[in-house]
Amino acid sequence: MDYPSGLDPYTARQHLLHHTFSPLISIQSSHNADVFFQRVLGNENISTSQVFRPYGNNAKYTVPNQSFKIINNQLITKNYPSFPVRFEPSLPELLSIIHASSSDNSNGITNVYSNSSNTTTASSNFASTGMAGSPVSSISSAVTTVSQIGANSSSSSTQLRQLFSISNLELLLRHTAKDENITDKGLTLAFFNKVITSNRIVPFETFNHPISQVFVIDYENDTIESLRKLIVEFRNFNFPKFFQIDDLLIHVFVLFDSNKVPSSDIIAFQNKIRSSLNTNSTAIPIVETEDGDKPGNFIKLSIIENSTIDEDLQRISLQESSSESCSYLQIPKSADSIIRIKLYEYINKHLIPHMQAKIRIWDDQMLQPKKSITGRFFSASRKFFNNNNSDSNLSNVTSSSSTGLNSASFNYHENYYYKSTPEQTIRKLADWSLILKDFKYAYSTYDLIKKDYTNDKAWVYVASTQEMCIVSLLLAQTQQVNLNPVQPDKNTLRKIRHDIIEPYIDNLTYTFKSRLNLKTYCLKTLVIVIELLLCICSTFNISWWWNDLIEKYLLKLVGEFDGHLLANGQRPQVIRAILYARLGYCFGKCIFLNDDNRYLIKFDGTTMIHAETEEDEKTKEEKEEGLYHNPYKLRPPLNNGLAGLMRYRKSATWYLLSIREWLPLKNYKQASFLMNNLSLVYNIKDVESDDWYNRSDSLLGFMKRYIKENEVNEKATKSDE
Amino acid sequence: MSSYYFSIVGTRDNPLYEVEFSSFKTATTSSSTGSSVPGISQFPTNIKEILPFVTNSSLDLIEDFQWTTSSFNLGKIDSFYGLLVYGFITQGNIKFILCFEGSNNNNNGSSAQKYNENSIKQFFVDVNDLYVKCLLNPFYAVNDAITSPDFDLKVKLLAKKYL
Amino acid sequence: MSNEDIILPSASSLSTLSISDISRTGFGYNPSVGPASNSITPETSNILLNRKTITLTPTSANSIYDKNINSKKINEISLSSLSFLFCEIVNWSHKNSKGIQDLETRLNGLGYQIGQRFLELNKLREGFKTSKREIRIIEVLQFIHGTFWKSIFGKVANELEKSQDVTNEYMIIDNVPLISKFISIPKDYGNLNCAAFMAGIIEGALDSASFHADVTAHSVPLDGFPLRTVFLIKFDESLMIRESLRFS
Repeated sequence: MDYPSGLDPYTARQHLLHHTFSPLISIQSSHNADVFFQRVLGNENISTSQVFRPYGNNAKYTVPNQSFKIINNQLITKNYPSFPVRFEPSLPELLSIIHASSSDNSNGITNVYSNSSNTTTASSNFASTGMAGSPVSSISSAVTTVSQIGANSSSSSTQLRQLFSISNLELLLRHTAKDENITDKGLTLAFFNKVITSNRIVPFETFNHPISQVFVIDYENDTIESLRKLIVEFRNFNFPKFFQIDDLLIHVFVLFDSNKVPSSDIIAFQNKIRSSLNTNSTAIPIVETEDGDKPGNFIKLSIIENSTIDEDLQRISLQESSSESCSYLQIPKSADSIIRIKLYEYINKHLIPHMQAKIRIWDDQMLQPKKSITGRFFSASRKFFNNNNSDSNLSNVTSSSSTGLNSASFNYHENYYYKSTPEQTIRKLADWSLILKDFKYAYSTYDLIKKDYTNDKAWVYVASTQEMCIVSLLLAQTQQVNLNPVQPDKNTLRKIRHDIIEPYIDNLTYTFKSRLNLKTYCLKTLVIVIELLLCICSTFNISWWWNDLIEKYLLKLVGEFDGHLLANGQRPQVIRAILYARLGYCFGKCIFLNDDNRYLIKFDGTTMIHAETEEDEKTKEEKEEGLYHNPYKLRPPLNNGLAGLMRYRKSATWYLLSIREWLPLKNYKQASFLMNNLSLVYNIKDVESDDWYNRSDSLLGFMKRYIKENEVNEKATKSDE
Repeated sequence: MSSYYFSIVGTRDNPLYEVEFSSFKTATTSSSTGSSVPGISQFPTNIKEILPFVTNSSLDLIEDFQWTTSSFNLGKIDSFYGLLVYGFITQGNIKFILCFEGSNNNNNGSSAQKYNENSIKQFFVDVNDLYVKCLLNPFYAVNDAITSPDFDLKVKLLAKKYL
Repeated sequence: MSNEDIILPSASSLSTLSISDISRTGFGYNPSVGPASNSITPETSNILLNRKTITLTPTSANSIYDKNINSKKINEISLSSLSFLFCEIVNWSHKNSKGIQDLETRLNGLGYQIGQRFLELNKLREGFKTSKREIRIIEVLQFIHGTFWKSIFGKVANELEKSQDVTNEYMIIDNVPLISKFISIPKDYGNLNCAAFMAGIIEGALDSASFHADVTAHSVPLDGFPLRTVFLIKFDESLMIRESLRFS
């Protein structure tokens, strides 16, 4: 029974894996490659990375029989139907965006102003007063916190900024919610996606550090020399000190027209690239079709993939100013299928093996020594004897075993570990094994390295690793590899909850909020953890374990978002409506019955379950015959046997509160979606019945009338047309 | 001076009686504020309109307690949207539910809270007495709304006495 | 049928106050209006604070709300007057009924409301310090069989049995049901048992306490106890589910 209806947490989990814990591949194209695509697509505004970007989501853009083979560290092979990657602009470009807004203070603010002028034009159309100025203030306040943090440090490194702007998120969702086609589920997913999607490069996690750098060139117009120049220029870039360029898989895509160029030439060219530049390449044959004007030969692709809040807002304001749809691109069918196939090859033949190889090396060289007894001894000895210089023998051993084993490897000024330190590498090892879906291994690795971070008082690393401990643990628990997952026993659950999730969340909230003034990071964590907990509830039917925790975290989120938005005079709010609806969903799914007794639930989602059972036919007949019938007889309610084992009424009240947020925004569509989620508790169709909840001063009563009035008005305007 | 919403809920989840009031005690001492009349509830509209629903949602938890504990007074059963919910259930499946805004007087210590809980319990016990008297009226049937002005007066006097 | 309307000013007619009904005294709850109907005003606040005696209804001066119903003293009434009254009740019900079955359900219906009231009153009189709410089938039956029976009929019932074949059936057995002490059933009335009235009392109490059941009275005479009556209690199936989910 799908009641209440809402976003399936497993969809959220999947999006989390697709949009956050997926390999980031940066793309750099030669000018000629851009021209090549512009010619093929007949669109002068398109860039190579824009073309590739949507194809990264190979769960959506599949090839026939696709299967991605991943071998984990225990040499167990698993096949996955999809393995999405994220295509982003090249690393120097990504970093320069961050630099522009953070390294130089005045520069940063002007950038922000130009940025927010876009958003304010968008917001002026959002039919809401008193909020036009808010994005400016919030962003500039984010900038000032950055400058405070960065005041002591040199400007070369990336400084920590808020993950996203809450006000901008609200603006974007408000706009999204007005879309005619978006459902309540879609909106919740949009919220989730926007919170988790980021391409910000930070030292303390490596999910946004590119795993591969792909150069795209055009065979006809680019030469080996120009490619060499591209690579050399790239290598000479002043990368942040925490970023290890040696781990990067350099790859080349060669575009050519198979009608003009014989394949032997391409193979020779590829061999030449391999021998002179020591780089692998993939050839992508694309035919420039003559009959390309026929609409049937084109495929329409949405270019919105993995877009961040700010990117979306910019696009929206551009669309509104130019009134020209730029969210789709048209691509010839033949080119579409060849790109899919070639990317599939690239991921399977180059990307995944590269990651597996690196993981094995790191495991061998960094992790195992640490786990071994001697490693433990050295780390202990480091603690006890570090200041004891007379014991030269021991300190010699320590420094020779690994270059960066002394605690000085953490840069306190700029909050990062140097790229070659085991701390930085092992974190990357854990991140990469998570990407390759080896969640258990990732968890044990996070857990191990966390202690080192704590010893070094590298708080931001600690917090981020705590987050990943929880996430990897929950991902492991909710992995549906086998059809009959084994329910974790009570002790495990107790441990997960009391020893891991609760203390870590408290701890990382403190670090992000109070130590670093970066509350958006802990908001992101909460959003993720809530969905994963909902997953674990639905997998094992153990809502009684987690329900109160999910409620607590959701309320915490409400409080944080409220606190921020109310300060800016934004009320009512879309974010709040979404979170209230999520609370409603969480309680609606909360059924305290184990699997054996689930069959007792027989509601079809249309009748009110707390109402008394109907009289049977026989008594009705008897009544008609004039036989006596006791009018005072109390009949059992429908859910009598299960009384107190559900939380439908509580769920309904949260949905009511959510609907209340939508009405002032005049978004009746969302309101009536949510209204359906009350149907087990209240009679939602009939406004006139004299039930208590229909009173005109009660929330449901006036909301029903409001919505009905609107329906009548809409019908009237339609009939006028 | 906190405001209270008290409701008697029948076996069909229907309110039999409702009343909103505020504490009389603090009002008399702080009557210097002038405008506020003791006893008049101070719920803002956005809370007022959801009170019956908060009460209704607490029935989920009351039903859970109903079949796990054998006491009449259920104590604090929920806090919802900043509202504290206290409950009491009779043998005849009639629920007494009291909602009030969770005050920020946590610093008053547990003794104050205990006192508070005791007076709420006493209030419930005395209301139960009134309810049974009402039920003894042969012209009253279970699940009928209690419209008697005398009953209303007595409940309000109890509110004044205990809350 | 019509004379029923004259005799009973039905309770439901009292509760259907409409939105336009406004209390003249400032007291009294109106379900169509909700808590706005009896919200405290400056005037009523004044009355409450100053404990003014106020006449709200004709019976205010001597209302039940001022009386103590909690006394432990047993109020006895004359058995013969009760028997005369019950005789009239049976006669009246008989006149309206369309058969033995119908007569029994009518008697059951009359007892039903008494049961509902006595249940609450009994628990009130037990006192909250000593009493507890019955939450299990067997406990509520023991309560009915013991305390409850005693407070109404002056003695506990004789036996409490569980059906061997049907899981949701129980029996309370009274050797000499008080109410039918002076009743003899004519032959052509077959298996009529006027203790259906008592069955109604049990049913009302059980239904109110959320132990939904149908209760019927059956004559099962034994030597020396010609009036011996078995009250067959058939609980709703949902209770068995509840019991097994909660207590197993």
